[in-house]
Amino acid sequence: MSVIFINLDIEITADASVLRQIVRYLEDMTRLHEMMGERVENLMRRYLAQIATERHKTADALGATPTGILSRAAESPESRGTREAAVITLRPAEILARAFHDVEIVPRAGKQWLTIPINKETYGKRAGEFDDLFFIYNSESNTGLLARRAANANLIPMFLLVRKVTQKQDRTLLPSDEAILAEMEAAAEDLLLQST
Amino acid sequence: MLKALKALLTRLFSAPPELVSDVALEWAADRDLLPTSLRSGELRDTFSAAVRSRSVFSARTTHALYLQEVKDSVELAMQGGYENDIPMLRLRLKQALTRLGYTPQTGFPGDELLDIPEAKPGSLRDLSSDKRINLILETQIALARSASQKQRGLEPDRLSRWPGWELIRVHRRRVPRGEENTLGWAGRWLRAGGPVVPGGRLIARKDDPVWRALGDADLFDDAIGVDTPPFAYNSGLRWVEVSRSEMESLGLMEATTARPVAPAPVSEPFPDPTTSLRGMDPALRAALIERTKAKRAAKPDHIRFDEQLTRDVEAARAAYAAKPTWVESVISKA
Repeated sequence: MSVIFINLDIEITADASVLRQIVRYLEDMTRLHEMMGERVENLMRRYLAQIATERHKTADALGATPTGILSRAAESPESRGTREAAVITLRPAEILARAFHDVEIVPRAGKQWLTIPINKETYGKRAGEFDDLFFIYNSESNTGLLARRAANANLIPMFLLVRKVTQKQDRTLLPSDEAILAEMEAAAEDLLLQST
Repeated sequence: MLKALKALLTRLFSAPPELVSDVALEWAADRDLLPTSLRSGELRDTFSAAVRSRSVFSARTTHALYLQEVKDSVELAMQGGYENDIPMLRLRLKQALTRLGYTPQTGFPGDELLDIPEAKPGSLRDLSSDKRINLILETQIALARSASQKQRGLEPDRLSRWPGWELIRVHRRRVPRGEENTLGWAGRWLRAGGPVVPGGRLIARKDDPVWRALGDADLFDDAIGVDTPPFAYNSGLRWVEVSRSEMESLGLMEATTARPVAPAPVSEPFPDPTTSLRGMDPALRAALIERTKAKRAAKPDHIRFDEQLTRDVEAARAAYAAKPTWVESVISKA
């Protein structure tokens, strides 16, 4: 399953904070975990919605329609709180995993190439959706090209074919640790206020 | 403290199953198929919002097997994975349409007798066009996600803490509503009776009638007829919750106001699928109804049917088409 779980653990250490005070007195952490989860879920939605409407560098460069994958990630957060933990479920993992580490993408079993769209017409599409492309191999760089023949016999490059892609970590794909911590603290304050 | 939390947040691990929240996926999987020859407007007139919200349907999409493929594709898209991205699922749906004999000119086999007009290839009416498939997938995914938000958001404790919804843009649009002489969301909000909030934000209590009105086809031609986002076709706006304290600071609730009331769930039996007999040869129609014991539906020229009847209809049409005319049968005996 392509999913990311973020565990909002409150094993805090140093500074005495609202969180630490409340943890000391709670016998059942369920409500606190629910409230933390809700706050962070909504933080994730707002943050992902913001970047989803702004981050379209490749689509804009190609003059293509954005794929909407970050927008669908913004629709996905669900939180659950139990006695043991608060967990946020996010999809799809293949996009959001980059928030935590570099991601290496290789062809799936039986395939040799990854296809990278390099044309406005192919952005957001699979090579299989075209029936007029032919393959060109570059032995020097060990890359390939799927191209179309134009009416004047020129080649129109449509997809770049590579053996693997490494996407560098991008922590800004998700809200900062400070922002998440602030929501967790706010949840603890809310609970404290409700209890007094 | 920050350092300890940072270490925890950057760690990916598998959560125990009881912690996984997949309410949206469960909702999507739990729907029925509703094959239909009806147009969008007719669908809204014929089936209630409660039925439509529990169904997988698409205007003028009569083939149950294709609808099953759509349903499966929506669930795969929601699960994610490199083989479950929208382009791959779009390719699979196109292949399914080809396998089932669909063309934009003739529809599915048998559609020619159902009063479904020819579709211009590549248009929104063409079930195999990118435009149509993208719209179906994006709309169905969004409806499932919003239904999950609504279900979770109306739980009593959560409703107390988060009594409001805000409509925010999640999908960028090349031409958003409000441009090119169309009514923008601020205007739609006012027409739907939404409260005026400082800064022009689209925020209301979860039980505010504005949420039903935004999806009302009597108010907006492009409304889908649901009370969750997306309220209109190709809308890029979705919900996010608003806390009690923010609702109070915006003047939408008082400190002493009771939490919003969750609407009572509507229970309505799922209707039997119907098929249109309009344009069918009267002799064939009478023979079909007699042989299959089909019952008449509420709509004129329609009968209720089940899968067996569907097969019988197709077989009857094929047999009738293959049957020689009176002249041919005379010649063959001569």
